[in-house]
Amino acid sequence: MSFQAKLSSGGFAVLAEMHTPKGVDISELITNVRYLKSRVDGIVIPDMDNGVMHMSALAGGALLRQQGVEPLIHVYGRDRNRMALQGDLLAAHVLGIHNLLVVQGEDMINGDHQDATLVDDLDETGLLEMIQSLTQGRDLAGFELKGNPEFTAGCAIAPISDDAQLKKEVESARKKVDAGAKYILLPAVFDTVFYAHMIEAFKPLDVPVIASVFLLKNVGMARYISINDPNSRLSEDIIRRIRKAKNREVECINIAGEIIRSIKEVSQGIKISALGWEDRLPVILDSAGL
Amino acid sequence: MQKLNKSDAKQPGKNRVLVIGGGVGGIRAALDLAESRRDVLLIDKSYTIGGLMTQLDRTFPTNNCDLCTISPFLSASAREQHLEIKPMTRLENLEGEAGNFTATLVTEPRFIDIDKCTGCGECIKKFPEAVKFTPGLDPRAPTCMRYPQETPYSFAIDIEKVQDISEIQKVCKANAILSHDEATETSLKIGSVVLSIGAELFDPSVLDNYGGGKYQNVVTGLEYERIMSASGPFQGNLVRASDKKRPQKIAWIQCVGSRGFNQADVPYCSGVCCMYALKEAMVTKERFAEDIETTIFYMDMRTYGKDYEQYYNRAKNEYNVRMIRNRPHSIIENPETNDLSITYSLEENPIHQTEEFDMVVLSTGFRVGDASIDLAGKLGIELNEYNFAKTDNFNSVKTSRPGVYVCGVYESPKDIPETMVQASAAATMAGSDLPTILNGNQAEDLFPLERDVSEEEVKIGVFICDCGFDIGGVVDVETLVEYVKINPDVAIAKGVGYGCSTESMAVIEAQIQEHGINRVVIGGCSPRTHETKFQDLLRRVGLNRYLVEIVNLRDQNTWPHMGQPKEALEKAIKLLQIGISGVRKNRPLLDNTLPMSQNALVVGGGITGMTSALKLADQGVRVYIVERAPSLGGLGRSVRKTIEGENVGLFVTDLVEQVNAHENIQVMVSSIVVDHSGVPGLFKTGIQTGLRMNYMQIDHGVTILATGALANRPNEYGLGSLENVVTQLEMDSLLEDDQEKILSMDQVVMIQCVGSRNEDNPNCSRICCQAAMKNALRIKKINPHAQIFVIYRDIRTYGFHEDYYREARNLGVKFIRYSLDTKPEVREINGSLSVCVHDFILGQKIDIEADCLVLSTGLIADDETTEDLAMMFHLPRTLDNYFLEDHVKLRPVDMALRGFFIAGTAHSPKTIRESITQALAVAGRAQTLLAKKEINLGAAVAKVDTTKCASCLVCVRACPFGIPFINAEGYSQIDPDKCQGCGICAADCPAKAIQLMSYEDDQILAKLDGLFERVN
Repeated sequence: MSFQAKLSSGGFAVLAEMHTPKGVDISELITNVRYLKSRVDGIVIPDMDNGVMHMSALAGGALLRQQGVEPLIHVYGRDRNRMALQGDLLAAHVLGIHNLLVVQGEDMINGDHQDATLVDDLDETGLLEMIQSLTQGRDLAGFELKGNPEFTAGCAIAPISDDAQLKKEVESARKKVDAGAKYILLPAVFDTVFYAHMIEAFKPLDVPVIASVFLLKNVGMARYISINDPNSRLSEDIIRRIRKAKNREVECINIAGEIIRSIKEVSQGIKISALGWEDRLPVILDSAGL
Repeated sequence: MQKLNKSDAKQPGKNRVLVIGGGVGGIRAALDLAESRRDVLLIDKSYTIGGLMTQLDRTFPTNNCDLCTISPFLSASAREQHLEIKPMTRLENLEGEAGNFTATLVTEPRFIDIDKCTGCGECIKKFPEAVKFTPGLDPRAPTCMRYPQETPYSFAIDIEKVQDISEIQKVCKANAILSHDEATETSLKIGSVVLSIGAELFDPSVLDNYGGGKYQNVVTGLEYERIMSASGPFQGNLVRASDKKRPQKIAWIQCVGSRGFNQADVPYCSGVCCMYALKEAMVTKERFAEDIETTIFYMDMRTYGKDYEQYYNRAKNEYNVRMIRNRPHSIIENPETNDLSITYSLEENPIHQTEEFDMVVLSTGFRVGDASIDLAGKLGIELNEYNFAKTDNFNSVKTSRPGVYVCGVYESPKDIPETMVQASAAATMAGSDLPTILNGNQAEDLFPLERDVSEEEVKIGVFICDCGFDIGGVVDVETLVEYVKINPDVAIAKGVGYGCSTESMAVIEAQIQEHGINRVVIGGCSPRTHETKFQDLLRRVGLNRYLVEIVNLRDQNTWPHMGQPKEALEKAIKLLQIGISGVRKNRPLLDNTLPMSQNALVVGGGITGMTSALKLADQGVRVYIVERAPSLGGLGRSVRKTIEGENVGLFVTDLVEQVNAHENIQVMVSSIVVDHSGVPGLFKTGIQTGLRMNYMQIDHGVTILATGALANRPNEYGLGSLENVVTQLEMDSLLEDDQEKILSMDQVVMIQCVGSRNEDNPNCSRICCQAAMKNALRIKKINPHAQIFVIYRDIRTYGFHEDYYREARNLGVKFIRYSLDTKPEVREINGSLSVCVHDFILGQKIDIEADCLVLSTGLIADDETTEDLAMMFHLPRTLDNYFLEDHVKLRPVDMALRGFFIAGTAHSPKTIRESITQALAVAGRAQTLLAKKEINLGAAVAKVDTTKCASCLVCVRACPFGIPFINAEGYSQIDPDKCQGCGICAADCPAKAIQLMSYEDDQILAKLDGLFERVN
């Protein structure tokens, strides 16, 4: 069943995230994809994530398609103008990529090409409108296309600190849904009670809500997140739990698994990121019972 | 005369460093440089190298004799092709500038050709007065050399005492004695200089109150070391000089000649005497008799080094060393008994009491001698007021003359670990004045081509060491030799004295060549320490290094069975038979090698990490610096001024700019280490950056841990709850930012050791005493009317920091002592702070009003982080969660795991200046590793015989490292680059398809045959 079909049937969609290489050695990506092939509904390929130059997501998506896995690629406005964006999307369609995730271009502060020119021709809503326009057979200048591409586009939600911001984000998401977003991807949060509360808030928009989870790798990372990203609501209990564990890596995988089990009750899908440890994705799925 | 070989002036000198002084510091610096493929000339005015450490009996804090740890490094070895040693040589003149100096050296005549001298000692037996052998302390002339593994292994003739040189020449079988020899002057080009000339020890005979040099039973600390030493004047028996009886009561008097105002005193602290007095007191009880009463008279117990406080606690609590806080005025000798009486009073009881001791040890410290002052003049470097080398406030090894660096005691009084650190730091600095060589030519293979022995008949050479008394004193080596000779295939058997000495190694080499030996058995000590040395010997004569078998006659036989010589002899024979039988089956093996990664990973972007990164990057190393904060700078960013008055902010800003701008440095801020794998020389580490957690793997050959420590903030004395209670770090900022507030303070109270030296954190934080002095002096400068009270336990202003303590006292800062039983109490009464403390001198409690209470809180290890990193990198930590170095004394910045180095406050609390020294040191240590282009993984790895492998998966499950896997052909495959050589798979394999190279079944069986075989 395709990702789109899964969403419309009301099933629980399982997505994994994988990066294209920085370079042309695709062996690791392909190996990891093969292990996941029969276990996920799609694989999300970010594009130049974090401002770090990688092989473009377009090629990543095409490779996934060759492997028989359904790709979802990121679309963002930081590095390309509307010409390049539209051209790439038409290419995406013919390469078999029909799922898009519109995201905000990451800040270049931690990027590896800090002198790169920022384009920002279109914002997220603009991108969604552009996608909608293409699927309806016209480009942004109003010219007719020879053959319409087909896409299921979703939108991503920024980290949420409190109820006030939650309300704001719901409103912003409403605009994106109006602009054509067919699903919503929420940021990762370690507090499952708050997560349920978040998901509840987006329900009125009447599109599937997909939750995110990422794999903690060690205490250092958990501490970094807890200090620098309070919105992820990573508690001292979790850090203590990892520190006390006999095998910290296994404990981290179990934590991810537990969060997925809990969120599964309330969301329509989950996106799992292993952040460079993609070879551990199968065991996370095991731990989550997926 | 002395031969000039490599250092002849025709050689270009731009890649050469001159190291002056052959003590442990000079040796360390020379070895570091040589291992980094720099040419080094090490000169020493003495006729042998080794310096002060070789005279010590045992060293703190391990109470081990470290001579055996260092002596293998002292003797010449093929690995140090870049190192040349010239004893009896001094520097006369230094011209030019950094990178291009011309040095004039003068070598005194030795009258012995060191290339011929075998150190047999015949000359000294016949002419004891004319042959130089050992400095002053040892009246047992001429029976021992200064230490047995002396470098060079040679005597020297004192020509002034010789009447007829031909008489001496007659006794020399080696024809090594020269009738004519004269001082030679050499001029050579060098790039830079490392000065490691140490200092002299204060001679207490100039004091009239302690009877040093006058009373027989009053000795200095170093003399006491010699008395305890097995190679000392009383053969290791602890007796007093007057009646050769064992003393029952021994006293130590600290600070003799140091920390004083009298004419013969110096004001500075000698830094090491507290620790050596504790060591001597403990070793006395440990080695001689527990009931010997040991008493230490001291002013402040200065155990400020890493884990030294725990050593002090052990001395007090486990060894019952008696501690009396008093500086006795004088010692009076009873002329009949030669006993010594000391009059003292206790702090809590001012009544004088007199006590008799059998022996008194004067803890004397360091002084700069006239020769050193003279040398400094020739080098053109500035000295401080005490005639020690003056160095940069942010670089403790940099003298006033560019290109001239100093390390060890000549910079300031210090102990061996700190000398080692400075030596490596000075080597780094000296190397940075030379052209970079990292990308230069690979060192040529030093060894000849290996001889193919596969077709040869087995010819075994057996060489047995006596190791002085250690083996030879228990079993008769000649009996062993006779026995061994009758074993089949043994072509030659020979006793070789100290087998690891240069002379014996040469003998063994010659014997191997003469008899066409193709298997070698060494009956000696542990392969752990000496196997590589003998393997290199084999390589020098063209044999594969796996054709040697080391039989551990010492550690596993003569040491444990010292009291049973008969049984020990039997066992020695058995052990040798095992070795001989086993070596027959030894086969030449090819070592597995990997290309060395030339990158370095620096974890932590504080002052330490940045300094290391810059030094390595300047040498062409690609450096990744990983910092978890969003910007570089670390804890240094919150320090404003150093005690010398330097602006830390400017310094850090400048460092950050340099690091960010350096083309060889990749700065990764907001980044953390998440995984790690690989082998030393080829590590792979996963780094995750930013909130989006970008993951990246980097390859690196070395890892430098510079993760720092945390500023401690214990919940004590109202910190965090009461207003106007601050830490020294906060006071440091206040002094820069709010002078008005300082001006408004009438009374300031400081409490020392807050959160340190207690049950939770037993160690001393080292930096707080100087921080208190620094801030007290600054408060006084801004507001001279402010009354400052420092409530302390021991003031630990070691070395020249003592000057600041004295200055503070002179300015009227009041010092009140407390102990753990009389901790001060802090109260807030009507909005104002009051500190109540017991005053020992007044004998009552006093209340001090405080406008500001400053707590000296020091540093604590970042437990969570060091634990996390220690688990990932597989590194050990101390009990108080700092990283634990490989050897606290001799390898203070190397971790036990090769390729890992530690610097700065991640090692232990220390000042910025000390952290920088360590940062420079690790950069140098890392270069010694990066200078190699290949990683040798050895040959002892598991190998699968595919014809026998049944793919049963037993090995896959058994391997604790997860290395074996079933490959595409369906057989178990073991990657030799990853195999750790533990042998578990080989033991478990049911089909016997796996063999561990160099421990193959037939080899083990041959050894067993040897054990049960009767030859005669």
